Amino acid sequence: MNCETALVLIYDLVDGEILPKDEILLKEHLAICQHCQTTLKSIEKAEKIYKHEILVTPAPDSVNTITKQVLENKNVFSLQSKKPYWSTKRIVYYLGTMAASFAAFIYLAGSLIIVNLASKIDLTSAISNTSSSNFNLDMSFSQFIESDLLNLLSTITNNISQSTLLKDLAIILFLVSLQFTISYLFTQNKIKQDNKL
Amino acid sequence: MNEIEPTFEAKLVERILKGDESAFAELVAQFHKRIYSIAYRMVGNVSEAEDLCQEIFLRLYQKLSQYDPNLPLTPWICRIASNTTINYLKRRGIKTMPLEIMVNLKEKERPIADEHATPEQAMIVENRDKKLQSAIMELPENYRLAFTLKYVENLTSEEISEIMNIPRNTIKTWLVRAREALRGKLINEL
Ligand SMILES: [Zn+2]
Repeated sequence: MNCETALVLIYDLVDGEILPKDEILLKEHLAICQHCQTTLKSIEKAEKIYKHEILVTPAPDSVNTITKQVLENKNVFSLQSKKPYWSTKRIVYYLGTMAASFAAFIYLAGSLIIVNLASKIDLTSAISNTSSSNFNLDMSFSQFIESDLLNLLSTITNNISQSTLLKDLAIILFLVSLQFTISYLFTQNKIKQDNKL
Repeated sequence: MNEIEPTFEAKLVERILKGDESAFAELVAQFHKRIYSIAYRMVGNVSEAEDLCQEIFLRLYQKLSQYDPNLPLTPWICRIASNTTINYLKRRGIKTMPLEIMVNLKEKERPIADEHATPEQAMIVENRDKKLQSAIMELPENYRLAFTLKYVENLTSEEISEIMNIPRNTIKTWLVRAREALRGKLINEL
């Protein structure tokens, strides 16, 4: 046995958790190793200090103070953070979740709305308008935005009747409120996880 | 750790759950020295130890309805103390006091030393405790918690493993490393 292994077994010994077969091996090693004998003595002294001096005495009135504090605050989540419900962290998290889920909704629902709108307008004419302004693959994105996308958008807006616009606004409103609710629930859950025992 | 009989513990909890405030005071009186010691050893100063200690008892009170009266109360309380401490340290995070400030805390910031025979002895113990506490504060938090639980509650590595929900062999390794680090710092006292 080397001294490194012996050290682990010395701790098992002082903890009273050593296996009988290991104890025999350790005793054999200790009999021939001065270094480990010294280590054992030093560890035994240290153990006495830990055992006898680990406890500290709280302030004399602390039982009353604690009892009173706890009973007064039994419905507060944490004494340390008796902060208002809408803490900065919560607000930031809420807005973050909202922005993220809003982006996701726009990505998914946006395409649906476009399809919905496109079906109501003369998309062929809109597209033919844009392609008439020499759309080609070499065109940069900003150029496309400037010329063709604006062209397309104006064609779309011109083609939507007021009633369909209201209908689509209602859909958007519904989606926004839905994602408000979702981000609220996410926030709640996240805060709960943070504070979980 | 078996000062109170399980049946007594169960009755005490039952009384607290029925709204008996004096029963809760009894529970606090029973455990507060050990809980406070865990808190102090983990944070290293009196004011935070008092905060953490209160937080542990608050959590204990709030969770009491989940306590299974067929199981011993102490390990259950230790688990709450351990989890609350881990959360407290996580929340406190970077606010950790630098060690130099902690060690040089003014007298009233130090815990009241346990009664000792003579003033000389008390002085020796106090100086040693300063060294011990600053060495404990240098340990990683998980080693510190395993070490503190072991000596405050007089637990085996198996019991610590159950409380901290960490494999027993890992706890054993942490305890060997923690104590070797402490022994290195306390070598002049040994
Ligand atoms: Zn050796």
